[in-house]
Amino acid sequence: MARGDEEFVEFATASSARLQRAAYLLTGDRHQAEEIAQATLVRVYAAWGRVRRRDPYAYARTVLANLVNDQWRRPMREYPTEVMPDREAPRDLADDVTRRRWLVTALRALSARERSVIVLRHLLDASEAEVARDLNMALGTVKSLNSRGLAKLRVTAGLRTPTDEKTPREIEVRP
Amino acid sequence: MTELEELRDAMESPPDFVPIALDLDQVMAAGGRIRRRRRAATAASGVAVVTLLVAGGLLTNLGGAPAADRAAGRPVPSGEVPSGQVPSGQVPSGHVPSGLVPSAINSSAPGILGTVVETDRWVDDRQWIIYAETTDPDHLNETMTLVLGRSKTGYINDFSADVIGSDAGDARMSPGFHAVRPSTVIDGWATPTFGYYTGGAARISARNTATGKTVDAHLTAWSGFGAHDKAQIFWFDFPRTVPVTLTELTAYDRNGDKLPAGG
Repeated sequence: MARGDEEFVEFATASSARLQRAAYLLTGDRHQAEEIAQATLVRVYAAWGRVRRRDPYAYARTVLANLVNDQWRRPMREYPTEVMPDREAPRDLADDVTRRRWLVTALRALSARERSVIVLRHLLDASEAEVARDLNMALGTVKSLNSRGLAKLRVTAGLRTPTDEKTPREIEVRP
Repeated sequence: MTELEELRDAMESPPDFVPIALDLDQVMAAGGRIRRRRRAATAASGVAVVTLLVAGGLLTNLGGAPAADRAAGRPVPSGEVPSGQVPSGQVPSGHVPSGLVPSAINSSAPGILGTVVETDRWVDDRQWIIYAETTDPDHLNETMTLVLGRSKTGYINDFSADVIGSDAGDARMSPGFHAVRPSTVIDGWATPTFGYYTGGAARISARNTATGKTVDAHLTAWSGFGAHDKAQIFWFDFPRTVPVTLTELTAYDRNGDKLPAGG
């Protein structure tokens, strides 16, 4: 195996799981997530000669964002959920799995743009400027979406202490 | 754990989802095919552009744009294409033709395939652009998609998609019209009616329902990697803010005979 291929395999092995998770969070569909992650790595490999000495992870992130956004533009790929889920009962908050599941559900109920910014920024470690470039948004828009998305999650996903918010609430999410 | 750490932790390990081991052999095989096609497209496009320039006697009239730049895939501003010079394979329509921007050499943009159509119609300093997109160039029947959007520079980096056109099903390269999207209004600006035709159309026309007049579309020859992956991307002129309703979309061959509209 050529050295470049060895490096690619190393990169793909290291980043595959995270790419799949990001795609899953963005699409909500495991099969789409696997397909998108695989398609992302195909594109990265096709461009490996150019990107291997730069930042292949950033390139992969950009490709993945493009592929997912392309899915979003098609109506049948939209999430059916338009309201935030109710807050879990306090007794369940101690359950990590339950809490993570609920957080992910809350994440899905954000608008596509908010969710995209949150995942790229906080899971894939992109800077705000990189998110702006990847999603073709103004930097101010990214900051605003990030702030709004986090605010919704803080309130609805219970990232504040239970005493801060005692009632479930629904937040309208515009398509 | 801070709020952000908690969120990150949830995203790092979403319940009910376990990443699988992706087939890297398949990944590298598919990526390798794209590489080879890009190289082939680069070589073929370079030859085509040079041939065009020689044939048109333009080598001395490039206005400072080296042939190497063009062969390297940098977008060719519409204004650089002299009136009357129609790239080989394109059908003259009386308008400045689209720039030759073969995606395989122009960028790392995922999914773009073939000639990118520059309409030379601008709003807010951004030009309306149409291109074909696919997730699998080997299966265009299932994946061929047209994208209409705007770009300031002609590069994908500042391109924003506005209308996506694709047919349902698996016959997207069958003879006839495909992915036709009517004129509409986006952000206060009218969009063109556009689509693609498979089957060697030399002219595409439609009737303006407001004026009753027949209008001709702008045509740009499009091709993918396969020998039979050919089509004509078309779009109709449009006012800047008012959508145009068209009907009786018809394709004609070089002899003026009607071609099938398809299914």
